[in-house]
Amino acid sequence: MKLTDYLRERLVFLTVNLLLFSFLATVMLVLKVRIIVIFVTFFIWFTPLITYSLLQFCQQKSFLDELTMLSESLDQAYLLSEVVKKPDYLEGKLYYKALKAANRSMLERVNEYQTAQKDYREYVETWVHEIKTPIASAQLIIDNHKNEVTRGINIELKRIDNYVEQALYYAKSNTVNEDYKIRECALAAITKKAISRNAQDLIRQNFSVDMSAVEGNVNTDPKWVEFILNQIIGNAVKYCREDARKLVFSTKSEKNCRILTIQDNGIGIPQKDLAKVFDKGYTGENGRMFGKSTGIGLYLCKKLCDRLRIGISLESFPAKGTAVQLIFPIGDLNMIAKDFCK
Amino acid sequence: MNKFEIMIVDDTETIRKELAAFLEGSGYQVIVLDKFINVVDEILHKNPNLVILDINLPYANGYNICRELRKQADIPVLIVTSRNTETDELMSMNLGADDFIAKPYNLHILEARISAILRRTKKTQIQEVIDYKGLSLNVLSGTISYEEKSDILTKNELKMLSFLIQNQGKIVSRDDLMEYMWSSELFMDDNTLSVNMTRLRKKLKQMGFPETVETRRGLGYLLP
Repeated sequence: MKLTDYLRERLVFLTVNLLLFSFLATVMLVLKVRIIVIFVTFFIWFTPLITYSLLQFCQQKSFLDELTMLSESLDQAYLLSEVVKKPDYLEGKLYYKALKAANRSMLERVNEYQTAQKDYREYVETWVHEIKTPIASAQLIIDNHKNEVTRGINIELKRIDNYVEQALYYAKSNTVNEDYKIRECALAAITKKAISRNAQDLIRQNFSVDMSAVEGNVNTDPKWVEFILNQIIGNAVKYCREDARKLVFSTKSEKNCRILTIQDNGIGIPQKDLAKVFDKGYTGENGRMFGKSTGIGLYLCKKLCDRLRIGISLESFPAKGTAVQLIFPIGDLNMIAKDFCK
Repeated sequence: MNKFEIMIVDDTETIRKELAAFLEGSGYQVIVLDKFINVVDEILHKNPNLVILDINLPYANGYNICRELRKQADIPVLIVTSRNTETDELMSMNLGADDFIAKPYNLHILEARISAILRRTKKTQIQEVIDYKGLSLNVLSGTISYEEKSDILTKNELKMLSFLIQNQGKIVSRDDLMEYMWSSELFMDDNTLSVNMTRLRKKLKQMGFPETVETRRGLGYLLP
């Protein structure tokens, strides 16, 4: 708070006082009062007034300056009322009290929603785990009684399992807790698992799958990456072309990262849709044409990748195919640890 | 030869029933537990070669059972759970479980895991030579021999032949065969399967083996 701002604020008050004094001075002049008396009156009138104003300015300045500074510098501005010093003048005290009250009610509200969200997430997780048992039972019955009918049911069952998994990861992606465990794991092992999960669809669609060029280790949560790959493979199966379907996995090592590329030769994505493929609910031309798209798969991939600090990018040419790249950083810390172990 | 005994500890009846049927079909002896009050004692009493343990059980949590069991015996444990996270896997392994598999699982993959554990934990060899009408197939070295002749099989051919022998007398559909190959992480397509089948037939023929893999058009393959 600047003095000029403060004075501008007090302009009316000061002007009124000055006007009243000039009126009084005029009356005194007319009444032939001695000049010196007029001066003394001026001092008696204005000394306390100005002193009081300056004092008030100083009090307010320290409180308001702190408030401004904190609101700009705090990471979470709503914590302001917890940090700010309690002022020692009436107006400030009242503001302080109101701020505290508003803050408390907001925090209660936020807590309410946090609890509700946590509750819901826990419910989704429990639900997912509950439903896995009947899915597993059905899967066993199908495996023990293989024929054309159960094969068809099995494919639908796999779809159900995939959607269920998606719900689980969606719930996970929205919470603040770090729900993953990073460890060093082989990309080939994760890729194999993800392919195996989609075996039936890939076999039925007669895909030729090549993952011989996948090598190297990365530091990540393998379960999450498996889910991400699962979504990408699912897309390749959904948007494939008529014949000679191919899915190629390969890795490339750069200085600071290792890149896993998943390349299909499907119908591709129109150029105008490319920028938005990671947006939530965005289905694009292919989604509309095939009618099976929910616009969640890639959105979720991106979100999970962000949480795991994996880069994800997508390149596509209509009628040629799509390539998704997962970029795993290789941290300096890991390198140091490795050197150290040597 | 003594059959391996596998104990199933799972509170879902369908799973117990179907899993038992499958494992018995694959040549294991199965013990099914349907009361879950003193699971650890039951396991120790029956002393099976392997326990398939579900985590969500009434009365006691599977992790506790695993921990208790580890204190008293080193019976191999395969943990089955619907909680497929790294934390759960890590916990299972820390409690001394031998392997961890998530629900729903593919039966071929489950069986592969089971035989891997048995191979690791039992010094006795798990059937490494399969006999079929005078033809012997060595699973570990990947060779076949008939009378005086022998030949080396590729991994693909080996897996295909052993699956056909396991299902001898039954028609094996192409999809089933492919699914089996894929569950062994051999991701082959339709053409590769045909090529491998042709090569396998050729190798069997060159050794003078009288039987061959028949093709049933539209149905699949059959080893009589």
